[in-house]
Amino acid sequence: MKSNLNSAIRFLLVEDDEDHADLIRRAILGATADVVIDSVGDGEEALAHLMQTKPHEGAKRPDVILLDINLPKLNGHQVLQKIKQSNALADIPVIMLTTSQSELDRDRALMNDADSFVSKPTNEEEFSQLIAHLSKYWATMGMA
Amino acid sequence: MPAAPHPVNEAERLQKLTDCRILDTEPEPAFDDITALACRLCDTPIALISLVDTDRQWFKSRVGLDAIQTPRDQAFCGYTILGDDVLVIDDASRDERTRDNPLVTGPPHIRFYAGAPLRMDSGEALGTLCVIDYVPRTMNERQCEDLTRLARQAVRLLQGRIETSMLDDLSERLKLAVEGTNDGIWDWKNIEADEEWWSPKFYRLLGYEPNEIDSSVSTFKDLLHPDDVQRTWRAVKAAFDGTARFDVRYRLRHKSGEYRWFQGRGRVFRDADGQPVRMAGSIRDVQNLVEVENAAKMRERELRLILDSVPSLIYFKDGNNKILNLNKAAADAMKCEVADVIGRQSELFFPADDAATFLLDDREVLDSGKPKLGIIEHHEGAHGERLLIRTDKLPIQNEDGEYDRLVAIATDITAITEAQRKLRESENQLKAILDNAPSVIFAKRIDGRYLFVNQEYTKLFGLDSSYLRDKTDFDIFPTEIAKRFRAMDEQVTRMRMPLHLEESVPVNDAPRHYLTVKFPMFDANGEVMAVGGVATDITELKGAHAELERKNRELESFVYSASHDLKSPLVTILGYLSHMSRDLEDGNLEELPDFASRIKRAAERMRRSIDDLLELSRLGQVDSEVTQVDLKPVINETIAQEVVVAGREDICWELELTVEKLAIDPTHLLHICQNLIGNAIRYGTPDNNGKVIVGSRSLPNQRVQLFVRDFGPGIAPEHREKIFGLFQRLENDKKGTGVGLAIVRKIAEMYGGSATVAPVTGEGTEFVVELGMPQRSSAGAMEVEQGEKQSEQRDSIPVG
Repeated sequence: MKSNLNSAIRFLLVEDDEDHADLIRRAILGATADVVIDSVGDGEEALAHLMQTKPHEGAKRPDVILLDINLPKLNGHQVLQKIKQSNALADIPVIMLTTSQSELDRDRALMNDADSFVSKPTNEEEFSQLIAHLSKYWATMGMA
Repeated sequence: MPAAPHPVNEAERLQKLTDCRILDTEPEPAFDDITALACRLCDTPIALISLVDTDRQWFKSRVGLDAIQTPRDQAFCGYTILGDDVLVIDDASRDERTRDNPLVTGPPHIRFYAGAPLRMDSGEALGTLCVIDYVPRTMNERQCEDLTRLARQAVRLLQGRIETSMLDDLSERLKLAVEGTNDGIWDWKNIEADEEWWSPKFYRLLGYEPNEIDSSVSTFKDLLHPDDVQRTWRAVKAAFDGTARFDVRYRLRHKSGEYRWFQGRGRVFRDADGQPVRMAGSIRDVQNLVEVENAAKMRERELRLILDSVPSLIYFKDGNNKILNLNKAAADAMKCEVADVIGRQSELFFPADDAATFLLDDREVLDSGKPKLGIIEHHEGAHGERLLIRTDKLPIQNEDGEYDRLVAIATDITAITEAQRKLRESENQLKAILDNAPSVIFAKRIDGRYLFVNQEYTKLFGLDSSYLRDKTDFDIFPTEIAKRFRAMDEQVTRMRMPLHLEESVPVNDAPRHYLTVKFPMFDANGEVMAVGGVATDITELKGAHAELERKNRELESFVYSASHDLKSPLVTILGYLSHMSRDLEDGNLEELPDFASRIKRAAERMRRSIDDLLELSRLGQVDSEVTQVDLKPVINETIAQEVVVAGREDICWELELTVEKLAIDPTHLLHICQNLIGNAIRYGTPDNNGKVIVGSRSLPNQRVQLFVRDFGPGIAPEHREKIFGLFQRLENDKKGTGVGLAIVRKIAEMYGGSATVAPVTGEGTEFVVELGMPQRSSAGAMEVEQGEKQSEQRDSIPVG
């Protein structure tokens, strides 16, 4: 684990909906100030960022990936699959984000070793829950 | 001198002379004694026994004369035989009758003649006994009397000769008869004695040489078959009693030890008192006859047995309706005994009209000498019911080759005709059921040859059922498929159990799916004689099933996409509303306009999505109206509109319309154009001054392609199919709803076509929409309108 208690936690948010990305970013920042959030808009870009390929040559490795399922080009499931197949990336926790309540999405995500699966929050309370989720990961990571 | 006239009975006289068999025989002492005695008694030098033949007189005995005969016309005796008494001529030279006779005028110069006629008991005078002298003289009374007595003695000798001769004849004839006959002769001379006389043939019939065994009653009894003894002796007794002729058949033991059949006949001779004294008769070998008779009897019995055991009615008739013979079944039908019918007229037993008809048929058969088969007649049954009879009539030749009788064989076909009728009915019913069944039904022999196929089968494969008979699957299907069928048939035959299976069969080169049950059909012995099958076409069902599954998936995908794409703006709206309300509470108004505009965009996106979804769902539900539509104005107006909406005046448009008119619902065409042209503007021309080509192409079978070609960044091959899915977008933007291409594809499918991204050379993308004839879909009916209406409606195409 690259992160440590002293340095900020680095998120990679993969979200095509700009509004959603903004809302999630706000939610995370509202919960804690000690984070860095990198955002990308589709699956291909997410992989480019993670693998530090063009045009993301200098991209930083995230501590947590927040991955939307409905993405243009490569969808969230495909991105997750590639992450988990990569030795270098497989141990980065991935939290799947979805607006649907589809069980299929949930099953497919968990089968691909997603670490968690959350619905996109639509109100303050749900955002709190999301943050609680994220905190749990931080704790986990901290213990690791 | 005139010759003596012939006696009136000359013919009988000459016959009698012949019967004596004396002419030209050697001298005999008995006759010579008579002539010698005559010479002495009459004291003459010459005495003759002269027999007057046809032309001569011949001397059986002569004394004093050398000639053995003289001509009849010179004979003195010719006169003598005319009378009964002694003729005496004292001096021949002076007698009128003899004086010119050469025997008088010349040597031996006869002068005296005295002759006594030799007259038989039956009256014919055969000649004379005469005495002659060379000198004239006379005869006294005593001498005449002596001459007469001597003549009588000569007659007795002649008479004896005749009797002997007759007896010889008789004896010879008897001998000939006894020897010549095939019968054995027996003579039981004295019925008091044991001894009998048997002819040589008698012995030989029994295999013996004459006299090899004793000819006696006891021998006969010994040879007689034990079973025949009683009958034979009863017959003998009856013959003695005079109550019956002796005519009996019995077996005698042949020398070989075998018994042979003989027919014994005999006659009883009686004494003056009528008492039997002698019995004689014959035996005849009738072994062959008995065998032939027995064989004939056996044949008769065999024939009778056969006749009486066949159920058909059999009559033998002559050409005049007389029943010569018939079998028991025929007699039973007449309610009579066989014996009561034989020899009687047919019309006694049948109605006159029927009998007359029978007679006509009989005559036809006899006249032609050819059988007449299958004559249908009506008879009355035992209970007055009408019976249907099938009769065959066959002529029969007699020994002379004439057809003088016939046999009629009549079979009651009432029941079988009725059964056949019922069978036909039941077959027809079954056939109707099988032929009207929507399934393919067939039966094949275990060797694979077709026994039966129903109408559905013949219709399906366009094969005549008569063609199929005796054909196998190898004559009908490709070898691989025929092999598969055959293997399953064999399995059914082997397992003796029905087999349920789903199979694919090519019909007119297109695979059809069948749910088939194959089952064994058993014969009366429980052996599998055929394999039957009922195959139900489930292709549509399967297609419907697959379609349903596809629709289900589509629906699932729709629900998923809808829930995401509809919910996604909601997340935005609710999220910012939440921020807005908190900022308002905090009095922090800085970000509110941004939040509001985000909320507005999200809400509008949601509205567009809902509109498009509604449009997509309407496609399958609203009836379409197909007309001939001019492409050019529709395309041009769509371009103009989309350009304004997008604010892209910079794009260069080219039209390549090979096809100008299209049969389509104008609304559908508009959807296609709006979406493809809109997409080309949004995604295909990222740079200023891009170019887009809109065109149409003609394809075979009245199919048409519409295409929109841009020269933008293009779409990666792996995404070309995905973009037609609902809510699938390649760009991370909010410009499209992700429903447009789904609508285009759906419309194309409604016209039996497709919507695809075609591979192109160089940069850019070409969307191709191929359209065929409108397809009827379960969701909505489409009608093709033709004629004047088309041009009218063209003006009312909604554009914009």
